Amino acid sequence: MKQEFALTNFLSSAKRGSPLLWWSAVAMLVGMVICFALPLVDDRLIYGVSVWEKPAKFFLSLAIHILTVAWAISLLSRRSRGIEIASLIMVGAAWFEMAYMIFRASRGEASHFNVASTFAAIMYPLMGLGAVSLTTSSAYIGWQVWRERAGGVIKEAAGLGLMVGAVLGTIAGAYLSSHTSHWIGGDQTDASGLAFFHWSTTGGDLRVAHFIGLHATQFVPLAALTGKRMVVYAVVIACVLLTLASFALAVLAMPILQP
Amino acid sequence: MSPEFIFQLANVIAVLGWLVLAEAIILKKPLWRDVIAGQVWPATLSIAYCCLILFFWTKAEGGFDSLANVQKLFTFPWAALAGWIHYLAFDLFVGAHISKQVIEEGLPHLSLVVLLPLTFMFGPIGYIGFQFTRLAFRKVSAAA
Repeated sequence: MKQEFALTNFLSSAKRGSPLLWWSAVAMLVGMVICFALPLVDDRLIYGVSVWEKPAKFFLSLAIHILTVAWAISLLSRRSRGIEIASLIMVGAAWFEMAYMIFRASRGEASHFNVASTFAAIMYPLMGLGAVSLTTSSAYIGWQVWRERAGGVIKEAAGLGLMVGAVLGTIAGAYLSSHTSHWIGGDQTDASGLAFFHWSTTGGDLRVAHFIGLHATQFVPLAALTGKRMVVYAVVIACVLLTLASFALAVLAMPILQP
Repeated sequence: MSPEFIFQLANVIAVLGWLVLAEAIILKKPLWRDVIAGQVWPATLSIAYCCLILFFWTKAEGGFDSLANVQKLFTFPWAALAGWIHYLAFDLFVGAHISKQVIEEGLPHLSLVVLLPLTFMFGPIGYIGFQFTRLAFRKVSAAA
């Protein structure tokens, strides 16, 4: 068998697994570079950071997610109609989210939690629907891969990661959206938060649990590279515990790290 | 979580790693020594280090370009904590490396009783002590 680096294998498999998802991810990475560069010419801020930072990070996050899903699809022995539909829903939902976020960013306004106008009040729940479509379709694809887990630890971990990530991410996200902000107490600004992530250092921040939970999608298959099922399940447990711990801290209005 | 809390936590984790290393040597389990104490533990501490740098690097004043700047950097508790975890991670890594070399090169195992506590407390002293141990026990042909 031809030997490849895990990363090379991941990328070529993702491309083969779903060209639709692959090219979406590539376009999103281009979008990310543009959004990270825009603050050079546009110095407007929202919550103390550039208005373009949020779209840039969502582009990055969605690109990583979509690539992971495309790679997981490549592991399947055959691609069913259901997988095709789930991929289409995923791409549609992802671009819908991005389009609205960019629209709001260009006006220097919030996208999530924004119900200031009738249009915003309609769009915010639709974003929630988009997010749930994303996680539901990844959970479905994860389940299809999981069903073929007899095919090895990588398949098992890929399927498990997608399902665990979707469940944890959705629960954390649903709780997030039942509030009027992702901050619970504290400064209500990104300026005093941690670098890059901007998670609050002065109060609770529900974004942390959402982040850790969703990224189980990547952490779990990464653990499978060790070739040991025990490591895979240890990482699943660690992801669940860390999500719960960071969620508990946020609900108690405590920052994960405080000065 | 405060820097003080994470400091205590990191210390407990590091000490556990050293105990695993000692246990592995006493029970003659090279896999524990090389994989758990030598890789998993330093990697875990390194991940904590990465997070701290990622979260706080832009928040800290100072830098690496002058001693005064380094001192300024370490007046920021999170930077000092990151530096401390850097020690913990690398000292354990070096400790596991020394143990492996001492055992595989057939140096006196008892030397670890001195070398490992030195590495634990004062990393580089333990390391140079290991290099001297190596020289001292090198097989040489007796002078005529």
